[in-house]
Amino acid sequence: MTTKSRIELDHVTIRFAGDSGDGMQLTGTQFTNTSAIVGNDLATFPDFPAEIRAPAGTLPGVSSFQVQIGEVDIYTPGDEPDVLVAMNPAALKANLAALPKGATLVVDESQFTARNLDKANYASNPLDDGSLDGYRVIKVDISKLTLNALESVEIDNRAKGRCKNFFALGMMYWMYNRPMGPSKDWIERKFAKKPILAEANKLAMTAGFNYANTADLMPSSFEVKPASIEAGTYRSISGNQSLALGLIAASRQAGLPLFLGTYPITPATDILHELAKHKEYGVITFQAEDEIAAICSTIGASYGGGLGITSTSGPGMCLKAEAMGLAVKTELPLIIIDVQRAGPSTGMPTKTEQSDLMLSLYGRHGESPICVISCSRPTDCFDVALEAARIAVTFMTPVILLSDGYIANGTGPWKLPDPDNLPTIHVRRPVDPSEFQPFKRDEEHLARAWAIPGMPGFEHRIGGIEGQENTGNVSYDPVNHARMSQLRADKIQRIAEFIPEQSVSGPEEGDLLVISWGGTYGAVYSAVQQMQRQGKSVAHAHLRYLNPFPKNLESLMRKYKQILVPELNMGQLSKVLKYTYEIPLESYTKIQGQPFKIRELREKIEQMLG
Amino acid sequence: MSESEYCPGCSHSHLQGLLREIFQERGLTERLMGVVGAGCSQDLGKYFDFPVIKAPPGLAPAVAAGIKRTTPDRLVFTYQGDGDLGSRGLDALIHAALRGDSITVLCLNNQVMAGSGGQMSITTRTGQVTTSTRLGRSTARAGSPLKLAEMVARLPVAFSQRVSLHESDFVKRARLALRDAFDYQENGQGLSFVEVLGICPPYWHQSPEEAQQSLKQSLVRHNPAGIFKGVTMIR
Repeated sequence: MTTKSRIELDHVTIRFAGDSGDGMQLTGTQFTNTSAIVGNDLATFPDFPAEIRAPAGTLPGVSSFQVQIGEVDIYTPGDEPDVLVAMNPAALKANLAALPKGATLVVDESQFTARNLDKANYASNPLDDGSLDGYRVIKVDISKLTLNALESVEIDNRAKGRCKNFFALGMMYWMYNRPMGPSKDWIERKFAKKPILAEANKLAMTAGFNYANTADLMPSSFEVKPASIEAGTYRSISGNQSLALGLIAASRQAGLPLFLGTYPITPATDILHELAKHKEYGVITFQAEDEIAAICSTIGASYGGGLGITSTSGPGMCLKAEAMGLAVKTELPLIIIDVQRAGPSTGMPTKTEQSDLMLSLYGRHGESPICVISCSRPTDCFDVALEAARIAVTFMTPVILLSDGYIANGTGPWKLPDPDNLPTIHVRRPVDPSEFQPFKRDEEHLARAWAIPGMPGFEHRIGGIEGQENTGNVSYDPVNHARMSQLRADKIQRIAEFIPEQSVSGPEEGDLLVISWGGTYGAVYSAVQQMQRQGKSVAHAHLRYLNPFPKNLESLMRKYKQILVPELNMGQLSKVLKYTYEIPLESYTKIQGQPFKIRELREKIEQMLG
Repeated sequence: MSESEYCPGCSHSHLQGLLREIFQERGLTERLMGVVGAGCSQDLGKYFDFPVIKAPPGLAPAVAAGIKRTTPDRLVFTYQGDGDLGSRGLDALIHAALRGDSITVLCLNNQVMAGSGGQMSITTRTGQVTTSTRLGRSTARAGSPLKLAEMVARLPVAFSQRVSLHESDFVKRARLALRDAFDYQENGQGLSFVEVLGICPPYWHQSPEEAQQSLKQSLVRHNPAGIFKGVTMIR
């Protein structure tokens, strides 16, 4: 029975923050999955420390998970949280700056002890000293109430304490009118072998739900209606999972066995973890001794006739450069996935950045052109993986697929595609042994036909030394080298004839065009939409293809008075566009390991429009 | 120096505690220089006052060789894990050994790549479950584990010993081995290597106590403690 009021919202942003050991990623994921089941559109942003295990209760140990849910189109995890759940003083301190005045703050009051305040460098208790004035503070003794709720459960107090995240989750479920069923099912599966822990976590969640329902602290709950999204079966999916499933689909559509040669590196490793689960699709995963051996095994797999894929992040990309040159020279299809992270060197492994674009375009010795494409959001990774495979196989070339930490770990609702409607990937094999030459090209794609070992009459050798046109036989002929360099460059440019023209969202000509690529899609799209609603003449072009660019990109750019290129690096795409098209444009960059906020982009656009 | 940020039961804390005692009792701190690799070993510098540089994954012995040649009076040691040293690092280690570089290489072998999320390492036992060998490491699919100390002993090094931290008797021997390794370096006799068997409770999916038991069993069956090259110095 509830007599409390219920308020409708079209979207809300919630951030769960606590110590790394408090299970905040799990809590956020549960809230997200339940919201997906309820039918909301959503986007998530997990933000966690790379430190192995920072001391409990300290600022470096704070882990957070932000999710935006809504009944309208959601393209980002939200600029600022409407609600912050802070499980200890450090979580409050690390996240308060992100919270706008007027927002709701749910804190675990029992954790605000002198010792914990000291660990978080608080001189006085923020719950009492007025520093939270202007926020709607809901103080709950979460730890104590959890212990009380589990009084009858026969586990020790430490194990009981670990259930407090489910108490907080229960409170949020009541506050946003979500069912507890999906999380109860999940708990039962997770703790199938330890039923007493399953019982404890379910009790804690229910206690949190009931507490929120009865306590006077929360006068009203909120309703976020299901989004009016296209009918179909949906699941919540992360970027790395989506990429892995896309690669499996590509392998099926091309009729080639999938081979992943890789070496663990954050934030790309989940691709290996996901693919290792799917041996039933003939997936071969190979954990090599380093990134060099990983890509070399992949070249071997491609030479042997597989769909060769290698996945890594920035530092690993540097190591793969030499072998990429071999793949360019031997003209073998290869997919090289770079899940970008903040660099240089170890940098900030769990933080996002878009700073490997130049490396991907130019980071090899010699004239060594490679096709580069990028993903825009978690659900897009599936399609981009298929597209990378199509280009690699059709044009017999390595393709670099750029993702980033923000896309890789973020999640969104993904509509399951109909397997019958996936694009077919055509493998062109040579047919006539009497006319076979390993590097003979077809006029249309400038690509060689793919002969693999075991095809009688098509035996051949390929190598790294410059080869004569068509035969591939070793050749130091100066004119031939010039010819081959040009042909390899022309082949990559030819891809532009077989990709869609660049589209824009907004007016086809006007005052300002905003050009973005990669994981900034959601923030840029949302900022441009908001400006359009204010009647501004702004359009948005989001590039998937970075080498070659779509054919119409230059003419498109010339239809606008000004161009803005926002990026999470120091202006890499803007430099490339500037010298490629000799066109004036403005670069707007952020290099903090954090994604753009919609507000930052809107302010920049407003400033440019005067 | 800061409070330990390693997980409960982690052998890095244990080994670093031993090193601190040895460095202090022998007055080495002023002359030490450390090189760390990727993974959990890279935090060494947080807990000691001597200079520490991080090398690219696996390449600590190469960096250490450069340091030693420019500052021969320093005591130069690498502090690496099995995931770091045993992957890309194998050739750097082998070549340092072949050159006779007078450096000390310490490897904490916990048989898993903990820093990157618990994947198989080169020393992962057959049958051991990791995040990249979910059904247990299979020799047919993922190869055989490497015995580091035995391999190093076959190279022209001064000293190679395997020790363990699971029981007090073994810890005593580990302490001697670490002292010996630095003595060999002082005498300029070539590379000295100590493989320290340790535990990783989170990625072994065990409590620290259970993990110590597993280590005891794996020690006997797969990785016997012992001196494979050189001798214990008489004190």
